[in-house]
Amino acid sequence: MTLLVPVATTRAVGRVNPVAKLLAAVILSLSLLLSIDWVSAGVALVLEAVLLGWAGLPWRAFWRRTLPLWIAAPVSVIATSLYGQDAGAVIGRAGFITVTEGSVALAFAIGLRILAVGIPGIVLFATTDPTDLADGLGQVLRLPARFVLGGLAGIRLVGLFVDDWRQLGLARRARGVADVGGPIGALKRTAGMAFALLVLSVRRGSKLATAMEAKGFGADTPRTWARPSTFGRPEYFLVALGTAIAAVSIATAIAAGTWSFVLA
Amino acid sequence: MLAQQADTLSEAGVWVPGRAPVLPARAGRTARDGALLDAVELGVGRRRGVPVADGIGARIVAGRALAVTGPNGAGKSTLALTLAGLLPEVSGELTASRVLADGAASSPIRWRSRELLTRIGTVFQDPEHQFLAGTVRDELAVGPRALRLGSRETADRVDELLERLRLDHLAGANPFTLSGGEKRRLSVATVLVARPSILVLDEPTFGQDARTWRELVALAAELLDDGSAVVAVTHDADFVDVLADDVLELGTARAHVAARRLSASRAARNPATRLQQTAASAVSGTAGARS
Ligand SMILES: Nc1ncnc2c1ncn2[C@@H]1O[C@H](COP(=O)(O)OP(=O)(O)OP(=O)(O)O)[C@@H](O)[C@H]1O
Ligand SMILES: [Mg+2]
Repeated sequence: MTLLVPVATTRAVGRVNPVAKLLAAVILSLSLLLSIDWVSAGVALVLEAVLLGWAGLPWRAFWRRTLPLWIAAPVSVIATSLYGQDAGAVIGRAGFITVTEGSVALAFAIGLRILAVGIPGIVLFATTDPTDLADGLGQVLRLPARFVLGGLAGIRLVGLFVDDWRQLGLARRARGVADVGGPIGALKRTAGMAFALLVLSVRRGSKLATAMEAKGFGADTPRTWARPSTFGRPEYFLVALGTAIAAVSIATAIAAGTWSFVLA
Repeated sequence: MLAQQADTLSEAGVWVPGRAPVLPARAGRTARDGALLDAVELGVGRRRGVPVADGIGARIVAGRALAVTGPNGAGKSTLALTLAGLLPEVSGELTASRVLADGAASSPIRWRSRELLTRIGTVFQDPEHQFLAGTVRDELAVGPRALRLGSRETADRVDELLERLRLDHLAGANPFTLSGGEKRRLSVATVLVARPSILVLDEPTFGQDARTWRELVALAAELLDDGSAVVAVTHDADFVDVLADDVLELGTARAHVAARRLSASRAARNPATRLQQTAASAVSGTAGARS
């Protein structure tokens, strides 16, 4: 669960306003979703890989956090190769499964895309402190404070869930019921703990709501922010970088003739 | 005015400044020489290899109460959970005596959950973490059931504790709906029902009114008289004064138990002397309020 905790970094990326990270990631992802072809995804991925060194994320943390992508990408490559829409020359056939040049190309387009869209998102947010993000969303994007801080409080509570869950487990051992009933007993206990966690969270949530109400979140008057969130040169640079990667990958794909607009 | 009504208020559970709660008279305690648990150079922590406190030496002895004190975050709760056989030791050793182990392994963390019940009972800092059943009565029956006691024996123990801790009128209520003090009393009762040799309490008196405080202290004192050991994590100086034989202060460079001056602790347990101390603390202006 430590995966939810932001990585502290001394790199410049750690100081960039999270709103800029969000914008860069959104621009990049949306552009890559406009077409499904392997060239644009591949080019974006290569450019991202070059920039990874500046991301401020230690390699161990990088692999741990992006692990889901490294599982999802190969799985979808294999699945699409086998079951994807067939086109072009047949490469192999077994029963009703046919692998064709078309389905393999599609498979790689999808697999690379999962990585190209996923990696920048994960990497940029790994070094983002939720509090900074909330400050940015409230001040730079001017989203309603109630919405932003409510969301932030929710993220903060996740850490408490983890502690609660551990305590619930220890308490079951202390109460003498932690090792009865074999696998079925274990399943029942997990369900019981999940329910207890739900009860605890609902209660904590309503306490939080009362506290927010008491701090005037129910009112419409403008709020002030304790930490100013600014949007300056590093921020514009990061957004420009994201846009540039998107532009280069699209241009390369069009030049290579593989670009296929999904909405066309 | 306050002075006139102090007795009534205190009896009803109000903390009256300068008035420590009066304790019920107790039988004199027989000192026993039964070490139950031995901690040597013990390091405790939530994660392997990351101690939050170490070099702890402590011996838990039948009939003696050990108070664990120290600033927030010093690792008191972590130590309590480790002594209770719930967290593995990070370094050093925690050994159960042959009497306590009673045929089980010598390391409490290796005991099975059910073996733990009659040996070490733990009252968690947050009572809500340890509730399992839908009603107060069922909650109390969890332990006896895990021990496979007969329904007769179970009912007897449950009824006795319900009454003892003033929970009888709540027998059918859901534990989560109780007040803070009732939850605390219930969490203590759920542990006592299994009659453990060692009772581990984490901040038992936090947020309790004077009446519940008095009951908790009286209960712990009774257990001590019966030869159980008590380990209490607490910030409550009065609680330490009245109950503790030994005090372990965490957060200092190396934590070792300092046996309290015997005369002082014995005196503190004697209600008559206790009153003198009350008078003294009234003079020095100690407030009776408890956070
Ligand atoms: N689940 C956990 N995971 C990791 N670290 C934890 C966890 N729970 C507590 N800690 C850390 O372990 C240290 C000791 O915590 P512990 O709860 O034992 O302190 P304590 O002395 O009981 O404090 P308090 O008086 O506030 O109850 C603290 O620094 C705390 O941040
Ligand atoms: Mg604690």
